[in-house]
Amino acid sequence: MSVTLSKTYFFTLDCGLKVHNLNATDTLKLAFTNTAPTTATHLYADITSPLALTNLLTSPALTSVTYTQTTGTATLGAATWTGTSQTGNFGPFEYIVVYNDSATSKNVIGWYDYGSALTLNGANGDQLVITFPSGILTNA
Amino acid sequence: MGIFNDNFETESVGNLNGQNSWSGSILFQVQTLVKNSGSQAVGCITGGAEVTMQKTGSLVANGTFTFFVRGIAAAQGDLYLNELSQGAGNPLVHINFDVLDNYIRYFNGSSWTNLSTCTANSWYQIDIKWRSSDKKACYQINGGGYSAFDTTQQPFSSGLDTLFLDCSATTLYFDDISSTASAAVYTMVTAPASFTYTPKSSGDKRVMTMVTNKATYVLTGMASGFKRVMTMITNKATYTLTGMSSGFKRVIHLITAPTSYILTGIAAGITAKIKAIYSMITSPATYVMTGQAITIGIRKFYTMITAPAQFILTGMQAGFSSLIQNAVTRLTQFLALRKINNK
Repeated sequence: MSVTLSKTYFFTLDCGLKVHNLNATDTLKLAFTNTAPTTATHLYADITSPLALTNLLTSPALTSVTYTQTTGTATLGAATWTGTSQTGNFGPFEYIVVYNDSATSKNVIGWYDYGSALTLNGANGDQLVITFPSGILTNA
Repeated sequence: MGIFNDNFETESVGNLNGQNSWSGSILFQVQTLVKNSGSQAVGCITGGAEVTMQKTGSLVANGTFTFFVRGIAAAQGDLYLNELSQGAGNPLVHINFDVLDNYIRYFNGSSWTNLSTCTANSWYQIDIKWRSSDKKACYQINGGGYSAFDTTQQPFSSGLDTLFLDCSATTLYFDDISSTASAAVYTMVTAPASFTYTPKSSGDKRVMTMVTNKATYVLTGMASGFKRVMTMITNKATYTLTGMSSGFKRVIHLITAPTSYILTGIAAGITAKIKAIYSMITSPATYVMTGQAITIGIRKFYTMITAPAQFILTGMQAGFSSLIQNAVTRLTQFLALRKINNK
């Protein structure tokens, strides 16, 4: 079962205000929290208790970010992201927030709900693999 | 870090019970005569009664467990891996070692699966791998390749932490127990959010549309916050208006000569907000208005339609009729108009 990105209401506003340059220019990152964001979660600073990344071996940045269009529908895509924990546990978190790290205020695009709280065991090197087979979002 | 490791080299020869966190029958003895490696192993000689020995280590969600077992003729025994918090008598992973019947097998909760044959007086390395993502385990004998992951006798909750050695006939030996934890891989497949500008969301107050000669006009999925939809459409083949959500106040349509006019799916809950539906439609082949769960709130329902081949008005639920003040009147007018037109 796939998990659909929940959008913040501010994303469409931010698009109109030239906050985002999604075609590989801006760096999109993931943040992890165990508190559900809301449609009013606008900025990284609005995320409740984002996890420190100390025990995450992998960079939270998405790679191979693209923003392309086909027949009028633009798609924001990214390569599969694999996060590996290290040392201590990484978690718990249930929500993975996508935000624009290049934007001055690190504006949020949306978030995913894993469905339950997850803790990656750093001693074992537990991994979380996130795939975007149809992209992160589409804009038609 | 696995559940625990024990090659029985540090225990004293003699009764295993009480040494190095082992507990169980005094028939399990550390001995030096039969061993897989080093100078010591554990042997259990039973007179026929089933006896057990257990040890609890670290809880491991995903990992592997390896042990060596050997039996004399007609030996029979079992190995269980449990999650102690679920009860000591609640076997989860279950391996059966049976020299008498010549097989090593596992139990998946409903049936046994043979992994290998076994003969007396030979050591067998048994590897068990388990994962928490689907609570399954797989097995390997003498490094010959793992079986497919299968359900365990009973599903574990968080992981495995306790080993039970069971000897039920003649003599069994155990040696070189080791365990490692392995990484869990969690996956999340995503679907994109759609940022189309429909359906309209809360905040828009009116939709005013004037459409001429479109083949099809469809207005769907309006969300809470809409107050009015006013539509004037001429000469279209089909007009469809569906899925209005709460917040609507009025729907006003002036439509000329569609092939069909359909107004459907007005859901419960919007009803308290919709105050009136006005429709003036000339000469559709078919006019259908169905499925309104409108019970309260609608005050007016005006429809003026000239000479459709069919007119259908169905599905109004309890309460609808008492609150619609003008429906009957307008329907009467419609019938009169139709009568006039038929002239």
